[in-house]
Amino acid sequence: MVIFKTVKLILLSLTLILLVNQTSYAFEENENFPRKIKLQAVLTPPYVIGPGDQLTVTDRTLKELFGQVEKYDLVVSADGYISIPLPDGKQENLLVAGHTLDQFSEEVRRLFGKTLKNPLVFVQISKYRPVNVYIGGEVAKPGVYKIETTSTSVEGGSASSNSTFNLSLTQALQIAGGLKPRADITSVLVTRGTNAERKVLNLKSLVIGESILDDTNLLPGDTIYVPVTGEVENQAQTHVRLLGKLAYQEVPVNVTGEVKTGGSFILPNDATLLDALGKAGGLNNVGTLKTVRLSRFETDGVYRTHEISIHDLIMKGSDFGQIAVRPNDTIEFVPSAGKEVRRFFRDIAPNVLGTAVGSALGSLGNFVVQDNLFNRQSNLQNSAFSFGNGGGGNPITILGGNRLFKSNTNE
Amino acid sequence: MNKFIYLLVLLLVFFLLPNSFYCKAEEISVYHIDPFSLEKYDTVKKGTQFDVSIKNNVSTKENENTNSINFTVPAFENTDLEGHGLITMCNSGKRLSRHSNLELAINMLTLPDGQEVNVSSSSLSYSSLNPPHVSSKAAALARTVSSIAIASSPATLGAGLGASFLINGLLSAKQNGIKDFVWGGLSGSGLPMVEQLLRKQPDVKLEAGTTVPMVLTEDLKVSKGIKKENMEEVQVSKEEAIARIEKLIQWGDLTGALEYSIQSGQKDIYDELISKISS
Repeated sequence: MVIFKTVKLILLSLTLILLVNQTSYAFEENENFPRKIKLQAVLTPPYVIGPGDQLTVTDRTLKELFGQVEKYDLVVSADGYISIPLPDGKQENLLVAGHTLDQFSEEVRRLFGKTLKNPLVFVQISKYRPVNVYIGGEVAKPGVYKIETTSTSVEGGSASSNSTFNLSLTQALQIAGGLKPRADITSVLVTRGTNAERKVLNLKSLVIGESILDDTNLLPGDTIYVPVTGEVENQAQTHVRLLGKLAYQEVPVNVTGEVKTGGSFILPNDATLLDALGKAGGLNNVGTLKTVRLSRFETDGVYRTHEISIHDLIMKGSDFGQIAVRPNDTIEFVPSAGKEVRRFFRDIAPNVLGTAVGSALGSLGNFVVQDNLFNRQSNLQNSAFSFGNGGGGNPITILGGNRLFKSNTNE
Repeated sequence: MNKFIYLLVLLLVFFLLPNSFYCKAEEISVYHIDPFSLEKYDTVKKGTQFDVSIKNNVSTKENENTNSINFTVPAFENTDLEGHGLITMCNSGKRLSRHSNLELAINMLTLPDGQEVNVSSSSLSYSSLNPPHVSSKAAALARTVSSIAIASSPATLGAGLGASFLINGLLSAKQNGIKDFVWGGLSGSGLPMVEQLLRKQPDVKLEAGTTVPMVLTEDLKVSKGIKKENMEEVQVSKEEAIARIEKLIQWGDLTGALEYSIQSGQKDIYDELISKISS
């Protein structure tokens, strides 16, 4: 009977426990229940020592007795080792590359502990090696970047997990010249560490304000890869104004053809076709906005040339994407046939016609003079004062002007 | 676990691809960054004129707008810089007094450390004209004879014009070559408009090596904080190279492994690492 009661009590207790659990679970599932705020802290993983780091080992064991502090600056060699002097006078080669500062501190204490009873030995990084990161894919200047760091130090022991590096992903992308137009801003890949841990970062959510913490601090050896995408809504050029300094900063464009001062120009990343035209001093006297050849890398990555009408884009209205310039655009303003004809009549024809009219008038003048000369000679020959046989009767006279003096020898 | 997969892949690459080809060290750029000097610049001011030497033959007859041109920028600290640009204006000479025009621009300059910088520039405008006809005492005499001949009698008009055409044509031919005989004759006998309308204007031709003055249209700024490094090739055996790369991967230095794969000429490992990083 007692056993039966005990079992009954246990069953009752279990039922109650289940009910309580179920109730709390139901509360969490309830949509009206305020959701817990998710905090995403960007934690920097422990710094991993590598070749080129300068470590300082400080031995304070004898300070209490003799006021003596031993300090050694040790640089990690290319093969990852350091040679550390021990209290017994020996040198110990230690492989430190690949270890954290905590691990190295522990090892140093163990080694010093062979000679000293309670070693007070500390390790710190007195000079960091350059942060070497690979930034590849759709960035303006892909490559390996070796970024010098400050010489601030980190104490060994418990504080060693904090790195003083302040190089974030976004800073690294800016150093690499920014994202290229077709970069996929929704999936920037950061690969890190021995196990090649992968982190996919969405810069789009960062720039449009959905997440302010989706950045990451970089460590030496990290790699960043920005893939290319054909999806226009995820391309950097679509969000170039929001991305600001994260996107390509310089937009080199070539303006050719019928402009006042053609050339190559560097424009800001929010520049338009009209800005490019303005840099070239505007159209010359035969240029037109109605036919412009634009050569550029399209959203699918193919370099194409096609004709556009900036005039129509302005008159009909266009959004920024339609008139924005992109890196390495070549904008060629072709001559207007009508304007060329007008130029001929305005600039060239008057000159040519002037010469022609001048020549014609000159010739006419010559003939007038010549005609008068012939008349003079005729009149002289036909006059009373003429000598010789003279010419035919010409009623026009110059010298006498009076027919009374006319002598018609033929009559 | 991933580490072992990496090592396994590397070993497979080593054993399965013994005849791997070597890659050039220039395949990957290495930049040294001093973040404290990134905002400090070496600046060449807008409006600065500098001479460049073209490396291609350029002609308004054979080239057209946007054709690429390579340049050399001489005597920059005794080092020639390489430049790249294009033709920004190319009009060939035509009849009806349409003169040829040629303008060039540099849009990229390779600095001594190998870094490429964008340049905003334009050149002067080149135009080609037909040579002027002879203008001397002999030509003046020929014109006087012609005028006197015209004025003296209609009978001498033709002869005068003919004489004028002949004398001016011959003088022009002597000065500018036989092809200038007709145009010189016409011009000398009072018909220069015929030449203006009908004569094709000459093309501009610039031989490779010609010096072309350029003008900076914007400040040229080069950050003092970015230097491109020359990647030194490392002569090691494949086994040594792989051992080193494995070690770098163990230390978490993927970038170092990538760099060393290029330095040691291990193209296949480089490709493998890149495919891992990018996929």
